[in-house]
Amino acid sequence: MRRGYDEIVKQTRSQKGCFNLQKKALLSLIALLCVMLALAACGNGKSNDQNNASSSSPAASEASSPSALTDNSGGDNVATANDKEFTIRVGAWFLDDRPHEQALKKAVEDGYKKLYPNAKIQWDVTLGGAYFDKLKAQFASDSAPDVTFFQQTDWFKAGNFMDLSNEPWVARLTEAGKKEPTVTYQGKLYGVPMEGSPSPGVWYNTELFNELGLKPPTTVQEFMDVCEKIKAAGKTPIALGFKDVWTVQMFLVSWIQSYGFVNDPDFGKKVYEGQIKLDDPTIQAVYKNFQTMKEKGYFNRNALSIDWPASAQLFASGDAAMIMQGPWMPGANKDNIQKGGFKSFQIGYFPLMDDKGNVGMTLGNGAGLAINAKTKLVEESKALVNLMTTQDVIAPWLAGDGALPFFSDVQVAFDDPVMETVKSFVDKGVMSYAIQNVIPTSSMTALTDIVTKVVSGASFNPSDLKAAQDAFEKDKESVVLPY
Amino acid sequence: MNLKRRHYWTGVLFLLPALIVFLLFFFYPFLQSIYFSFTRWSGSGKPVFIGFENYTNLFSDPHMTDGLKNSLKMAVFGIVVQNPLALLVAILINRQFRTKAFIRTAIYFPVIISLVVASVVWGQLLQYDGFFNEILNRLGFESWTEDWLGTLKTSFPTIILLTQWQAIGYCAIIYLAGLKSIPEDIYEAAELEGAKGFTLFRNITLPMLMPAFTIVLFLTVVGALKLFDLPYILTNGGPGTSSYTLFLAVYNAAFKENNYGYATAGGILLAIFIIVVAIIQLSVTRKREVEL
Repeated sequence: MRRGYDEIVKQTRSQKGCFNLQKKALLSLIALLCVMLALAACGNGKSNDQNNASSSSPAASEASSPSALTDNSGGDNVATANDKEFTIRVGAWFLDDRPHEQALKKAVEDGYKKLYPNAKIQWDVTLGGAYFDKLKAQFASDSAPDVTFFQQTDWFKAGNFMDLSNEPWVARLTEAGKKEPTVTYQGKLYGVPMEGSPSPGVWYNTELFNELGLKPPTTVQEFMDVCEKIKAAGKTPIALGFKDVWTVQMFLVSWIQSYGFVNDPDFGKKVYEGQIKLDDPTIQAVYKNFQTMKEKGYFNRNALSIDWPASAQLFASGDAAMIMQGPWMPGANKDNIQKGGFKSFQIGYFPLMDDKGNVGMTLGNGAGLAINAKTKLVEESKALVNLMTTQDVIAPWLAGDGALPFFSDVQVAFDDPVMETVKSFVDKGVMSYAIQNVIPTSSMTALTDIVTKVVSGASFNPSDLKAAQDAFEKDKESVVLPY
Repeated sequence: MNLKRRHYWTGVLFLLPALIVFLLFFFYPFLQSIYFSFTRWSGSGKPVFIGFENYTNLFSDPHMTDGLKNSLKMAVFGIVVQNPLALLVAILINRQFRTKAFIRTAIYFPVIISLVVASVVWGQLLQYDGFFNEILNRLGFESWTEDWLGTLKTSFPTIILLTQWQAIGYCAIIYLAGLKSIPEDIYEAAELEGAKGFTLFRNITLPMLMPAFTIVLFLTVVGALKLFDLPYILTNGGPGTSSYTLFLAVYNAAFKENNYGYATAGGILLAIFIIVVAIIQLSVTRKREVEL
């Protein structure tokens, strides 16, 4: 009996012990859950506070006229100061440590301080293409910046941007700026065309050209002849950095521009409507040019395994005579020469041409500026956008980027005389939108793949273009047309 | 409440935080993915329902089909070449010799290096004017020099070989653990009966290693099918589509082409494919496992 009693006591104690242990465990768990809930609530509360602290009533903001805050002229900016305290977020993908980018930030901050002395600008910068993925996620979660730079036109369809058709700076836009397809949608203006990026073209080492007695070519045959002479002199005719796929696309699109759009202004429309297929002889001619250049050894041997900065180094060092790049090349080349300790040289420019010497140019908007349709800082955002279109802010930035203004009252003074050459080609070339504006990205990717195949040494086969046409048919719905 | 029920609910309460996280961050997005795979969606705006169009288009997309071919080539290479090599390395380093510890560390060392870092370094070494070609030139093999990652024929084989640099060490260590777990007395008993060399390997080592073989084969096949880092960093699938893999194709469809619905369909089909292949592989190899 004693044993039985002891057993019972033991069992009871063990059960009590278990129960106490469980009780402690349960209380710990409940405490942990409470802490987690509190942290989650704090996180939410904090982000709400950030939004609320800087907001003004949307109704009140929309009622007041933006002209009360900023002057409409491009030159001077006389504004009524506003003592509100808030933080306004501006998003971009290109504001790196280059001097003209930092100068833009400073000019914007200084100018905005005059308008809103107690405001703070928070720069939401993610360098490179990842910015757009982040921006998509931000719009999906209603956490996008108040003002953002952008490319592509998906944002308009999705209703992410505010209609800016009635803003004061619209009157200052050139005709090209008002019709710029990257900022217009269904007859309305959803962004500011901030930089007119002239067509990418061939930048060349003028000293090397002079040494070899060469002139900038005006036809494809002359271009090939120039390459042959440069190769004979032991230099690489053209430096490619095709590991960066965008350089492939840029080269291809620029050449199609001259072959396709010059002779038929409706070339793009016909491609979209199916009257012209992507295996059209005009497009095939461009691929045949790539093949000829590859077979004759006009590209650097590591064209596909180096990126654009490495190809720019090859050019800056004088080992390559030419490089196909955008209008940022003069500034970038100067930088590379200085950092690499290379012998300085003057850079020249000529656009790619067709067999007959026709030149098709684009003056595309390299970066649009828009206002988040759901921003609580409506007037403040409009004031910031207007400020960024003024002479003092935008002109030095455009000069650094080698871009042209879309504003009739903005004058850009370029350091490098080569930009006058670029402007002259823009003025006399046949201007149009580019083929990438009328085909989906998947189709462009397929077209680009063929270039890399050819540059790797494979022969161009016109049947390869079927994949691009198939991708076009599959994803045509995603195209936002530029006309 | 009796003790058993109390235990039960205590267990449930302990599982609850992890379950909530799993449901919120894995299960719910997975259900959303299934929905998005039947839509046309660029990542912004409302998705448009298009039925099975995404799934049917996958089979005619050269990025996906070439990606599948390359991923399968990678898997076959892994099974046929990588695994036997890893086993051979494991057998060699299982012996007793002086520098055993150093050799084992050296073999495993590539595994601990970040694949991104390794890719960038290998990319430099394999360039046309890189270290590798320089060695070939100095040894008198100028005709063998290539832009290894920029030529159609050599880009993907080069990537396959680069994966071996890490994979063989990783698999060898798993095999080594398996070899260490085989009791010595089994070998002794077999030797007493006259077995030696290859007979011991075939009748004792191999069957006893089947659990390790199952794991290594599973990791090899799944790893090959989901290869992404190396082709993304080194070639981005080029030249053309010669070094595309399935995962790279899905990634580019989403983040380069903004075709999220289509990419989601690709991801789901890829997941189903990997699950089916893994189930088949596991069931085949598990049957051959021998337990003491």
